[in-house]
Amino acid sequence: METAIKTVDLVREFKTSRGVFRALDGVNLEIPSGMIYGLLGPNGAGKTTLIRILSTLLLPTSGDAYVGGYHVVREAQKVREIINLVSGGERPGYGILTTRENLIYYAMLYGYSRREAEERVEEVSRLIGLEDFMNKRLNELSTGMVQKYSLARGLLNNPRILFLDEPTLGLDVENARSIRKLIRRLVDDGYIETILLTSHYMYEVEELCDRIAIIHRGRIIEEGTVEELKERVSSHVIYELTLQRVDGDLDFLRELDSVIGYKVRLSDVPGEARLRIIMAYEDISRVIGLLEKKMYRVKRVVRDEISLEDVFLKLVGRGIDE
Amino acid sequence: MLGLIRRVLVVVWLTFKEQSNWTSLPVYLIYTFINPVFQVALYGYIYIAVAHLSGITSPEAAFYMVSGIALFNYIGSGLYGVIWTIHSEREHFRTLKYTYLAFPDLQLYLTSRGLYHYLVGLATSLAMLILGMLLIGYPMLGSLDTLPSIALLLLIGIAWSSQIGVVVAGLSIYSSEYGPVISESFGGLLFLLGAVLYPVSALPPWIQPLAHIFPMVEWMELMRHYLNPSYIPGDIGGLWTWLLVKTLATIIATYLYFRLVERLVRKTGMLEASLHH
Repeated sequence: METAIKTVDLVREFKTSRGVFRALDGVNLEIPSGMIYGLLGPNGAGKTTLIRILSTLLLPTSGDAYVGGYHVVREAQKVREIINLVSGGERPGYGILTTRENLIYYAMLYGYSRREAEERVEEVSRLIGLEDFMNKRLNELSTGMVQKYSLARGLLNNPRILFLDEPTLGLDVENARSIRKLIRRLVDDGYIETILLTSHYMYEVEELCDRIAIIHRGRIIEEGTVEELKERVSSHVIYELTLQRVDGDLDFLRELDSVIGYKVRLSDVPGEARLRIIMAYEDISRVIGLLEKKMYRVKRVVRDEISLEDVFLKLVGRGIDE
Repeated sequence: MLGLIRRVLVVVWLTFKEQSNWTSLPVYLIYTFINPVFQVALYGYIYIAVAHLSGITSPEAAFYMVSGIALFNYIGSGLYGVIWTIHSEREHFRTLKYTYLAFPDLQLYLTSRGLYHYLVGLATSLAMLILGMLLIGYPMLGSLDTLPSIALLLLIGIAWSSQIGVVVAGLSIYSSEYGPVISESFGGLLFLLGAVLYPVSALPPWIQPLAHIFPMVEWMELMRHYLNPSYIPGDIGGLWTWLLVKTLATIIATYLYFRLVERLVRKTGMLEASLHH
């Protein structure tokens, strides 16, 4: 299978007032074409930095990166001709222009004639489901519609490779679901050859991506399909506990050799919290004992199936949003 | 080539929309013309008031002043349009990075964004010259023979001033907060040094070499000459030579400078940096 994106020992450092911050620390990736590839990691892991380098907006400090076979530094213009970029949580565009005018403008920036641009915009707007909003000014669109507009803009030049940086960031559940459906369709129906998607939403990556790389502190710490990643923690034991209260952290759990990682989140029931814990071997009785010793009341204990979240817990030792 | 021309034209269209879309066309036209027209009226009135109080009239000085502010309006409009692009696209519209990916050359894009402003500047400058002529009564645009030279000078004016704008825009990439200040300050510097209200010889001797760095002095004096051929600023052939040499040097230097800026911008990630709003 042809390689769409390749990075070799990619490093990116930023100078800050507190010294040098290494956002990417020797990233090696090889992404085959014809798939949605997910880059999963917490905020600040280096996902966006990687996308910025691959889309030629940022130079690496060292190492090499190739997109569609072109070097992102030496052949930047060739890279730009085969890619596009869509970032979530932004409202880029000329608010005083209508959606149609914005899209025609961008299509013409890519070199289309007026007629070609109009045709391309119509085609893309149908695909994305923007037809009813084409005559509205961009500053009148909802956040969800703006993101659809951004996605449409990202398709105008018929890119081979599309970078989606947190495409559902800031969207409500319904809009996020609709965007995810669209993204899947783009590859399944052959509109885009390869998508590199970054996200810190587990379910998004799990639902959309054919392969996943987990990035943490600028390093790729695991790579594979969802099933492969789960398989790698299949010998581990996962429990979900309902606790009466959680104040302060539960780091005392790490005193137990069996505990690899845990994540706490609030329950739908007021005053309750859910503790998800991943252990190297069956040791739940000691976990409960330790919790009760620390005055935590355990209301319910359920042994659970392995999820992508558990893979992350195992690799990083904490939840993605902690 | 056709694709590039189309791209430039759509950028001009965008700038027109950006400038005019907030209101109806008649209101926009009034807004566009009102400031320059009142500006020339103000300078004209200052001249008339000083002449009235002192009893000394100098239509030559009045011509120098009125033509200066009208021509500076043309250069200043375009320059401002080029420089302001970085601020508006990166800070306000958040489009700079997407434009960078879509348009083949950022330097050409910035220049294209200035083109509409030069067109508006040309129309308003013409209005200023006509009003100034009516106020002061000094002959201007008396002969059609000079029109080709004026047209050529207008194009040369775009060539050097837009590239100076690109240089300043390159500086403003590194400062979101101070980008607009840099733009205003640079316009002020050219107004001060560019033979707008007075000849360079009226400046303190130590600052005169700075005024001669830019092609503006030669350009202003030649424009004045072709607007009113009885105005002879010196050796016309020499002025043309210096204007062309300096314009060429500006274009080459800007090209080299902007390649460096672009590399530095990619190195620092400043295309996306938003420090304002």
